[in-house]
Amino acid sequence: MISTKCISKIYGESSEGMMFALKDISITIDDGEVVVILGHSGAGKTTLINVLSALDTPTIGSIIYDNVNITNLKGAKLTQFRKESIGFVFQQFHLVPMLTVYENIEVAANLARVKRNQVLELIERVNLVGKEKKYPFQLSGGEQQRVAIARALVKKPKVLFCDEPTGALDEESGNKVLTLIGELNAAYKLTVVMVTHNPIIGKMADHMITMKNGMVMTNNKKKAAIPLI
Amino acid sequence: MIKNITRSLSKKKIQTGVLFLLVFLAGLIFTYFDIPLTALKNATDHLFENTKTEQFRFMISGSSSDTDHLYAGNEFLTSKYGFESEPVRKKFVQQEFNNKKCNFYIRPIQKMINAPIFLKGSAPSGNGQVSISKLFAEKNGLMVGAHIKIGNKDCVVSGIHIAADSVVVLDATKSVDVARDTNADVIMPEHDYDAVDKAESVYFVGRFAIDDEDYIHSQVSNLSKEDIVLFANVSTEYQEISVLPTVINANTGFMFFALFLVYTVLGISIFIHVFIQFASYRKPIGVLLTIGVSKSRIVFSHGVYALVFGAATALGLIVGFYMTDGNIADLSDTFNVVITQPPIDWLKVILFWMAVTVALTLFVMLYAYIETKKRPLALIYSSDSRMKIGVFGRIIKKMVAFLKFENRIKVSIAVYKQGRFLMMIFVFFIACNLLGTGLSIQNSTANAYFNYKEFIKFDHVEIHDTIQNDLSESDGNADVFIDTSVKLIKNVTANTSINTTLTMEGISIYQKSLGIDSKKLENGIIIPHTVASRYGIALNEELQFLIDGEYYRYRVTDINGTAYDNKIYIGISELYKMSQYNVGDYNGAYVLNDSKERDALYSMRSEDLVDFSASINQSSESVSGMLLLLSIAISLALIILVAAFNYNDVLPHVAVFKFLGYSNRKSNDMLINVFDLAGIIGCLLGVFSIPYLAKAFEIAMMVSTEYYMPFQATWFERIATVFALMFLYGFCKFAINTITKGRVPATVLRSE
Repeated sequence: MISTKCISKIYGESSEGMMFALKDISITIDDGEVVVILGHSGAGKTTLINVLSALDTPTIGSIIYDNVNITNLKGAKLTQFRKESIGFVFQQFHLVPMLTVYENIEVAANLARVKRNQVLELIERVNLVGKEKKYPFQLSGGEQQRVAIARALVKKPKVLFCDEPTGALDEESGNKVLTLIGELNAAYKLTVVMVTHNPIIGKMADHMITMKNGMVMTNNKKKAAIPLI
Repeated sequence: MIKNITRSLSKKKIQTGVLFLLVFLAGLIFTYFDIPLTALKNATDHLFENTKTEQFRFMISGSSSDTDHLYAGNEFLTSKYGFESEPVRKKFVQQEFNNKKCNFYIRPIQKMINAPIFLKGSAPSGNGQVSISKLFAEKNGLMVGAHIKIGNKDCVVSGIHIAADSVVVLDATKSVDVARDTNADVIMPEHDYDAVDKAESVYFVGRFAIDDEDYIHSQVSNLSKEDIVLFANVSTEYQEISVLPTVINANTGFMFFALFLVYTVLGISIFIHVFIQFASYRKPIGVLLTIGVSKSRIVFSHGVYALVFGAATALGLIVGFYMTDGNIADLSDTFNVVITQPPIDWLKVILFWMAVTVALTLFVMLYAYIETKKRPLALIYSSDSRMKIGVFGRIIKKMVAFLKFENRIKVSIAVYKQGRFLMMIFVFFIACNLLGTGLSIQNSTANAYFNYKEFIKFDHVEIHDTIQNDLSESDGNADVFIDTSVKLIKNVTANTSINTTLTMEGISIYQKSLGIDSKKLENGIIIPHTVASRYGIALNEELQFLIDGEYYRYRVTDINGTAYDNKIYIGISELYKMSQYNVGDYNGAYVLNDSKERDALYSMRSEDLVDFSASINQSSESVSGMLLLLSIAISLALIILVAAFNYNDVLPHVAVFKFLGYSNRKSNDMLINVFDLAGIIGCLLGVFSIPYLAKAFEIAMMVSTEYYMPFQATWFERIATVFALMFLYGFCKFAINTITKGRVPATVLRSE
């Protein structure tokens, strides 16, 4: 379970120049949930997901993962947390360009000491068989995103964070990616935290958070979520 | 239509043209500076400072096909220093060792022996007649027709002469048996060996020498120590003059400017590429951090990455040196250009590049370490202005913005994303090649080499005895000859610098060419049959030589026929000792001729025995070689820059295709095809034009003066240089395009 306590993210130093990217956010995310964070550009969605995933730190407040306050983690422990607990999928994929599909996933797999056959299984699962030796620039956007998902999941994280995973994709590719995420959620009991500004995707979630100006406007858990798939 | 055409002419294309123009202009600028003659001046200035006597003659040596060049040099020196520029006597000794390509020279211009100048009377024409020197006549109050007694023979003075010193090649291949029964000159043979032609030559200096023993004694005794400047040895010192600083002075900074340009361009080139590497690596570091890769692992992987740099560097270095060496040799053979390139000190070079590699590795690891201290998102989104990218990043961004490189770097990054490692190695291969060459230049060809002969002033001269006084002839000629042994006394301290230049290598070469068994020479001497029979010398017998007041004993290790040209060869171990003070050339096994020739040398007067030579045009060749390599460095650096920066050239190209009515995709595909085609053509033409290109570079950089220079560029050749550059540019594009699998344009289009 993830819970945040009054987290704020402030940019700028002087009182006049202070800008609240996040303001006093307290939310709770249960294990296995598909959480969708909705909001317009500049609402603070990405900042929130970055903070939740320990890629960034809140200025104020704390984030608790199963009784561990990750805001206090630094150095090796922070690296350890990133390695074991979270997977992150970026809107722009952010694959390592000089590595092949297989190598991009393998980097993360090595960290988690995952065997080669499991990497290949995952590649098969994300429908990238035959493209293992391709470089990112040789793939379509949807394919790259699937590589990014595979890279994130190969570590078997507890939580998968997705920052606009379909934002750079056409509709068809986007739907495939969402379907995949839904499948993985079901298969691995994976907690998925997904940022989007697309309300249609939001309707598919079982926990929907809407944001505006760095603040949580709505925080609703649905009893019967619309399945992603 | 006009609008479309205008669009297709982007500024970047113009910039490309400007870069090529700069290369071309750089060549033209070099054309008007007097580099070789500056080196010549420096060398002669140096010689003035170092020679022990002002009494010398000067000779410029050069390749046999390069006489015009020599005349130009002679003229230059004559006008500058008032030298007696006409080659007088061949005493230039080859540098057979140390430098396989520097042993070129020209033989002295053939010239007949000047007959003695008769002030009064005429040459002896009959038995009992004799011509006497002016000095002798004045000393004894003799006139033409006077009777003098030489030995036991009464003679009539037929003429009074002054000696003419001159040179002649009597016979280039054979030793001359001086006819002592004629009223001929006393001949001093000078022996030379041409390692290039593998031919021996014998030169002779003529002296009209009819004097008596008393006269010799009187002349010698009248001379002061300072006047007795006898040529005793050819000591060849491989002097190095640092041309570079003096050239800078002489040319008021233009050379410095040129060097500055080269190193700036190279520096910028490397800097940009390194920056691109770093800039494009910020994101992967960030990505790796997000997935939980530890900092130490990232730093380690960068260390490994930097070692790849180092390996590429070493490869580039080795191949670069190899190619450079080969090119120079090829140039020498193909274009009759002689470029001095002494041996490379590989140890220093390797150590230097090892140090560079280590430094680079540490730097990259430090960079990676610093980067890992940053937040991963800042690294991933480092191009996002909202993110903090650190002081270094901000400086770079401002610089990039100022130079308007941003788009270019974006494009370059796009290029690097594809085939990054290959591209990196390619670039560093070239860079290391150039830098390696540059290092070679600094260590070697940036020096002016010249060879000169040391003059030894003997402390005093003793006339020992008259060895022969051949009066037995009765052939009707005036045949009064006096052979005198002159003992030269000097407490000479060995010149250590000379010591170091006498290497076994050169001597071995000489021996090999003569077919002499070097083992036989190691501990003894080889004498010809003629000498052995004349003096009754047997094998293994020890001979004693008087050299500079000291006696040396050598065991005869071999007696040969005429194969060795009737010379006495002295073993290597003693060669230096002998050559210090004795006759003959230092570098060959030839040290002593037979006694007749040796005595002939002793009969020469002091002023005749001072000789000097310098191989000046080697220095100019060295400089031209340096310019050649510098020009290649400049051009390649510019080409790399152009290739790296102008991938967005594709945009105007695509615009042209679109103007022709093609779709975006079709335009893109056609562009790739055109690149490939141009690249293939450029590659082929580039390969075939390499020899000509090399020459053209030198031509473009060659000094043009009022003197004739052998490789003066024609306008055709200069234009051809530009075309060759363009072909090379095409080749680079083709290579990069191939490396990146032809997807550069597509990526660029997407990134734009």
